[in-house]
Amino acid sequence: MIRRLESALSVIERVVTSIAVACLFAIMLIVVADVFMRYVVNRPFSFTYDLVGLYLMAGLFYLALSQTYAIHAHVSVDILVHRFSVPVRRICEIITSLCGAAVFALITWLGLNRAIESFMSGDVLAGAIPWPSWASAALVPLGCAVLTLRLLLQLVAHGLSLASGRDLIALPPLSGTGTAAQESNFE
Amino acid sequence: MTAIAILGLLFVLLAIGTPVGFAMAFAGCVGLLATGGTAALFGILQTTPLSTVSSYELITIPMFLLMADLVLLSGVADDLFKTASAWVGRIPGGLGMATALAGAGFGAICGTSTASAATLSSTSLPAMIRQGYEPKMAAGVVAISGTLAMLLPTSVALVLFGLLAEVNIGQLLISGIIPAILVTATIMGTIYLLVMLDPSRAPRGAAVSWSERLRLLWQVSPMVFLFGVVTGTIYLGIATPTEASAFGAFGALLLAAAKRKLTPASLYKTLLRATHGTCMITMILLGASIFGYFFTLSHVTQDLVAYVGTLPVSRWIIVALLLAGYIVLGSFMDQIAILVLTVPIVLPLIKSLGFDPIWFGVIKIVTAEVGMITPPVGLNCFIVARYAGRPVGEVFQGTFPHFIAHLIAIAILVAFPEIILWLPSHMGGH
Repeated sequence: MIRRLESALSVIERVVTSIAVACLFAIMLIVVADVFMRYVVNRPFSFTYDLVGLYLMAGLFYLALSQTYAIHAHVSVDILVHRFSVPVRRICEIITSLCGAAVFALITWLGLNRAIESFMSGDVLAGAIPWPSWASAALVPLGCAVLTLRLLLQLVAHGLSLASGRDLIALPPLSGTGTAAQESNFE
Repeated sequence: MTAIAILGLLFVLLAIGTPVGFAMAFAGCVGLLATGGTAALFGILQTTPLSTVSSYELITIPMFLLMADLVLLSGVADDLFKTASAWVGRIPGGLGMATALAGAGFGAICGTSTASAATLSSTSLPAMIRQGYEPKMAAGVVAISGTLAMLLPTSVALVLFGLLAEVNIGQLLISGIIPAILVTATIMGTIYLLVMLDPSRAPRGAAVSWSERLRLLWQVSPMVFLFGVVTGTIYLGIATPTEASAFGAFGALLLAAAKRKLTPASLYKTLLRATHGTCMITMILLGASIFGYFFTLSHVTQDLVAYVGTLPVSRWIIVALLLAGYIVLGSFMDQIAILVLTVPIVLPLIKSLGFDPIWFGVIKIVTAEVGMITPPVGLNCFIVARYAGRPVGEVFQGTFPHFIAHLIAIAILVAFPEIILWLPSHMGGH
């Protein structure tokens, strides 16, 4: 059951993350094209700043948020965790998921309200092009909702693993042991 | 009292392995709830999630990550060490020095210390071992040379400091260049000294003909060009750091395409890696900004600054204590975590003592370099150890001489602020 939910959530994450990847690629192309237009043709785009800052950057971050968590790429300090036994590490994961789910469920709810509000009132950005602001605001609850589901799944999976003694979900890798150091650190 | 309890909560969460950004966000939320009630908490959670990510300058981070990954994909970086060793290989300790130069060269287009150490590990380390280098020394120089990426323009750490400290990011990036040259020279000097003490540590390399040297230099020239485009446009004030970083990434894309390494699959994988990296760093920034609101409400920073202001000691002693604290913190904590946790508190203090924030930022990054090579969690050493298949303890032994040399370099940078501040003061557009 847990595994089926896990793979279903992974599919959702893969879909939203591919949009985030597209946002990243688009940011690069738009900024380069903007500079080119400004210096060579002397006609810069009027929309770069708003489009990139409010839509693409928000998309890049929020839509990749959950998958980044799922692959343990969010950096953590695991110097003490090294010494913990497996059950203790599961308890730590449960606390982490619980704290994270509380924060992100709240952000999802508040973000959703904000997006609905600005959709209803038809808010637009005060710029050269009147972009609707609800589309940007909606990225926050969308990404945070997926992350909240991921955190709740981790919570339940670690809880059940702890109770049953079976390995229903893997623990995060420790730095200096496997791929963790290379995958998760960007100093 | 609340502030201490919340700090305690934060440290407990960090200790049990909660990702840094999540720990700061949760502790910050609890703190906001305790000091300002639900009104403060809801107000901030409604606006901060979007305002943190919609900063135009933040784009610099994904662009620098993408640029380095694309250059790696192109395979040009592999030739850096070969080129450097062709030029300086005949000097005593030449291959070690070539590693430092390759580290600086790769660091000039790569924003992260660990990526740089991984690249050097796969190219220069086997070459040194084959040459008969003492493994300890070879591993040490690879670990320390990787850290140069943090100091040269395209440094993700410098951009992060700039975002947190709200200083001019262009000036900050440029100000790292001369210190990076100083640090490279320090590493090379340390190798020379080690080889002088015991010549058996490093047998000499074979002579390379001039035509071969020039051919190799031509092969790595695209990287020099990329570095020139990014740094030059920032320095001359033609482009903002954001624009320059996008150009760098685009240039690296063309380079990868020219080397026929670009396929839809490899491009997607590279973009995905940069996306995850960006997401991780932005999450920390989001957590830090939620936590920062709580800290502002609780007046901790102001109280601390006021308190230190009344202390009857020289401001240099305070700076020395801060830097010593950073080196100790760096030995067991992640550098990005240290930046987000300390900069909002330390920077007002540094400013109130009359120091330049850009000067402090660069010195902070050099202490972070030291943190990357000190036990127990010097990440670069772990990376080198894994690539080399040697015990981590041996790598830590090998970096020890560089640790001492770096302390001297830090002292020089502290004593002569002009080394850091001269170049940015001559930038165009200011």
